[in-house]
Parts: sequence; structure tokens; C-alpha cells
Amino acid sequence: MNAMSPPAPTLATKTASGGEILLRLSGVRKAYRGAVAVESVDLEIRRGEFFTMLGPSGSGKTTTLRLIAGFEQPDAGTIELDGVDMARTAPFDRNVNTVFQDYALFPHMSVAENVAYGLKAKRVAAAECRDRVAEALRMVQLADFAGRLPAQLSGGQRQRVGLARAIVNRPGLLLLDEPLGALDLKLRQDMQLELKHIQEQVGITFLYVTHDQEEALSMSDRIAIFNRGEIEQIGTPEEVYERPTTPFVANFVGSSSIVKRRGRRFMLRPEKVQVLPVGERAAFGFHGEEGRLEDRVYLGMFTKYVVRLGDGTKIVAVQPNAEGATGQLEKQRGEPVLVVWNPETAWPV
Amino acid sequence: MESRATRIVLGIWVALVLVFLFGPIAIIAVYAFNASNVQTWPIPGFSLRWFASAWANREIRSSLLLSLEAGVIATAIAVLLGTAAAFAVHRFRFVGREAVSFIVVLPIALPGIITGMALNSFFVFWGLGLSFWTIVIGHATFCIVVVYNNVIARLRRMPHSLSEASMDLGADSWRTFRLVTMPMISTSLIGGAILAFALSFDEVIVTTFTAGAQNTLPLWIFGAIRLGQRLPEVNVVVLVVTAITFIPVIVAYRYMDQSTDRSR
Repeated sequence: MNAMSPPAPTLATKTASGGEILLRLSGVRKAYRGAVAVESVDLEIRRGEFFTMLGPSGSGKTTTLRLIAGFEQPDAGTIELDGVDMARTAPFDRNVNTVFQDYALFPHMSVAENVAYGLKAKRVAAAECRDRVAEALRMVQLADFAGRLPAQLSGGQRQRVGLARAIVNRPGLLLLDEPLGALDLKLRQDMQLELKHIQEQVGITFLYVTHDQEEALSMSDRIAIFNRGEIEQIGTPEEVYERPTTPFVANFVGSSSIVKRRGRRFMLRPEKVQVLPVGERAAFGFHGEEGRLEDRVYLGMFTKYVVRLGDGTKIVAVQPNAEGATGQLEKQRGEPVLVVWNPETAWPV
Repeated sequence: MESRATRIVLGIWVALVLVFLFGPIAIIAVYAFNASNVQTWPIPGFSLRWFASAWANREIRSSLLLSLEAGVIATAIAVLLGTAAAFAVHRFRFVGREAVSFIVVLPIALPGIITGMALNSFFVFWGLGLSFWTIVIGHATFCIVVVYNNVIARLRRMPHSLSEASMDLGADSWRTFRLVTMPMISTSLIGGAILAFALSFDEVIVTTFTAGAQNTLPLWIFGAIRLGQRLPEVNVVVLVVTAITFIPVIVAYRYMDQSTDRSR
């Protein structure tokens, strides 16, 4: 599945413009009873950016988000929002709002009351409050659901309410804690696009937490990859996918085969490897090696090949099942095949 | 799927259990309408005369009033202290937190006779005369447990993210408590209060040690049966009390049922 989703070039090229810094984390550290959750995090997020913190569970990304929201306080370090350190400020005094993974809608309040909650706490006048709630509900396409209770909504609708409830306050920074984690795949993909559109529409800086690399690649301006409480790499989707700086990033973002040649380790993305019948000529400048086909998995759009080279290296290749494409290679398990790649796409790690 | 035979056997079994549980109450109900003052089976005739006679009895009326008053006040104390204890144990990490949560629940596990004796010697030691208030204190000890258990169960089921969301949206702790936490626990509080009242209303053992000259309704019933006096009126009182207590228990059950639905 990883290999099926190379980064969308349109988004990847839209690198974050070097805008002013909205949020700056310096040397942030947090431990729970001796167990370090966040070791030392430095991070700068620009105004208007869609920034994603990506990592496996327990990597510290959610703790970092909770520190920014104010639900936890760091043991060390500063969290500057608009140049002011917020590390000790209570959550209700911070100009940030959160969209929760479990929605956290107030079950005894209607959709409209949920969305109005933040405005009422800030004593926004009733008329303005009404207008802004209606506008926010329109934005998430729930205008007709204002009177419902959360229990009467589907999961996707609940998460839209959670989103409306946060953006209606027009926060400087919106925190999203795996907001699509509880939704099924199709709904997730629709919501990913919608979230991205809403972010462009309202112009609020989004700080998004996910463990789904595909989600991170398709939505973000920039991504920070977390591992064991530290950031391994920060970059655009294209940068972290094409030019990972650590083996962890190479494996976590997308999948890759690791090849050792002349004492150096290279990463090979599966979509950049071709599998050909033995005896066929590789294109000029391409590197070819013979191996044995270990597995061939038909995946609909793609076919995945697993090839074992003579020195034991395992190479994974993915080829589109396009009309007349090489994806139709009719080799059986155990048969010898030729794997070919452009040495320029082999990225040293 | 169980077979037809097992279904029948199970049905009979359930019926027997129900008869075992409720048969005695049914018999008392029948005796309450007994025309004679002698309990024989079957009853010689049907009459409402013991209802009138029970109502006219001043002892019964004053002990009923005392039970209601003690129950209401003990419940009120339990609601205040039980809720406070539940919040303290749920919200804060402090030294002795586990001990507190254990001690609060202890009175319901402790035999009533021990609670009663302990309270009695405590009151006597400090020279506090046994009175209405000693009854209330005695009842409050176990009423707190019911409220505490109900509220803490609800607090534990309540997702932590709800109060976080409230704070995140700009509400301070007090506003969060008022608008989010309190509405979320209110049904468990009502359910706990009703059960606490029901417990207090029929309590005998602890009351025996903490009541002075006063008689609560259960104490009056107990005394009347022991002395073999006014048995027909006792039947009437028991029937009426059973009928009345059914209502709050059913209501409380409803609230607790609803609460489990909500958390899903």
C-alpha cells in the first residue's frame, strides 16, 4: 500500500513559502515518571502552513501536540506562539484550538451548542455567535444538522462538528490529533481532501498529527518525522520521500529496499525498480542485476514483485498494471529475473 | 442455540428463583387485606380496615416521618461528601489516594453491626447523646459509598478529552465543571442519591445502635414483630413501603441504564 502512493507532485512542489514563524519549539522535553516521551524537540512552523508531525505510536508526536495545546507542561524548553513563550500558559488562555481523535463532542449539547461553546466562553455577542456558528456549519456541510445531538451523527459527521467547533474560534493555530484515525478508508480519503480545502479557505495554520504516511504526504506543506521522542527529519513531502536523511525515515515514509554496494547503503523505492525477463537489455545508464523471483502479488492498480538477489539482498518492485506495461511479466516463483534501476534514484542512507 | 428442553427447564428455574425472592412479599401483601387479625391461610375475608388503623396509628406516622427526614438529610450529606471524594480521587494524584478510595467504600463491606457498635461507642465516648442526628450520621456512612461509587464510575467512563476540549475552547476549570462535567455526572448523581435514600430508609442494624428514644419505621416494624403486636398493621406498612420504594428503585435503575448507553 505504501508503494502504491508516490507523492502527488502538484502538492510536493508547492513548498512552503518562507513566511514568518508562528510557532517555535526549542529544546522541548517531557517525561512521564521517568519514561521520556519527548526527548528534545526543536520545531518552527510558519504562518499559514499545513504542517504534519508523522511518526509511529509512542514517537512523541501526540505528546508534542498536547504540550502545544497546553494539556501538558514541558519539563524543559520553550513553546513560543507569535514570539511569546506559552509553555506555562493554561489551555484556555492560548490562541490555539484542537480537533480530537475521539471528537470529544459534548454529548448533552446539540451540534450548534457544541460549535458555539468556544464563542460563548469568550463572551462573543449572541448575534455574532449565531452567524459564525452558521457559517462554520456551512463550511463543514452540516448546516442542516444544527439541532441534532452528537449521538445522532455518523463518525464522519462528528469529526466535522469537531472541526467546526475549533475553526469557528479563528485560532492562530489549529491542532489536529489524528482526526481521521477512527474513520474508514474511503471516508478518510474524502476528508483528507476536504480538510486541505478548508485549510486553504480559512487560511489558519494547521498542525496535524498522524501515523499514516500516505495522509502526511498528500496533505502537508512540510512534514516532521518523529522517532523515539525526537525529530529525524523535517522537509516537504518530496524531500522526505525522495531524499530521506536517516534509514528510519526511508523505511517509515513509503517502503524501500536497502542495497549495499561498495561499502555504502542505498535505498531503492519500489516504483523505481523494474523487473524484466532475463536476457532483456536494460536502458542505457541503468544498473541491472539478476535474481530469483520470490513473490508476485497482484494489487489491482499495481503488481508487486519480491526478488532475491544473488547476495541475499531482497528487492521489492512495484509496477503499474498499465496497458502493455511490463507489469504483465509472466514469471513464476523461483524463476530467474532481471531487476533494473537507475543508479541516480538509489539514495544513500 | 439452546434446545426447547433447556429453555423450558431454564424458564422453570427462573420462575422458582422469582417465587423464592418475591413469594414472602406476596404473602405479606395478601395478609395486608386480611379481614381477621389472626394470620391463617387462606385468609378468611378481604378488608381494608388495617389500612385505616395503620394510618390512624401515631407511632407509625411519627416513625415514618423520622425515617423520611433522616433519609433525606443523610442522602444530602452523602451527595455532597460522596461527590467531593469521587472528584478528589479521580482528579488528583495524592499520597494516600488509594487508601481514601478504599476507606470510603469500607462501610458497605463492614458488617452493619460493627459500624453500629463503633459509632455507638464513639458517640458515648464523646458524650454525644443519641438523637436524630446520630441516626443521620450513621446512615450517611454507608450512603456516601453509594453516591461515591456511582459518581466515580461515571467519571472514569467519561473521556478525559471532554474536559480538555472545554478548556481548549476557552472555558476555565469552573466553567468546565458547570457546563460539561456536572451535566455528564448528573444522572449518576441522581441514581446514587435515590439508592442511598432507599438504603437509609430500610436500615435496621446501624440504626439500632445510633437511635436514642426515637423509632425509625424499620425499627418500629422490628419491634412490633418481636413483641407480636399490631401484626396486621405491620403487614400494611410493609406493603406500602414496598410499593413506595419500588418507584425510586425503578427510576434509579433507569438512570443507571441510560448512563451506560450514553457512554457508548
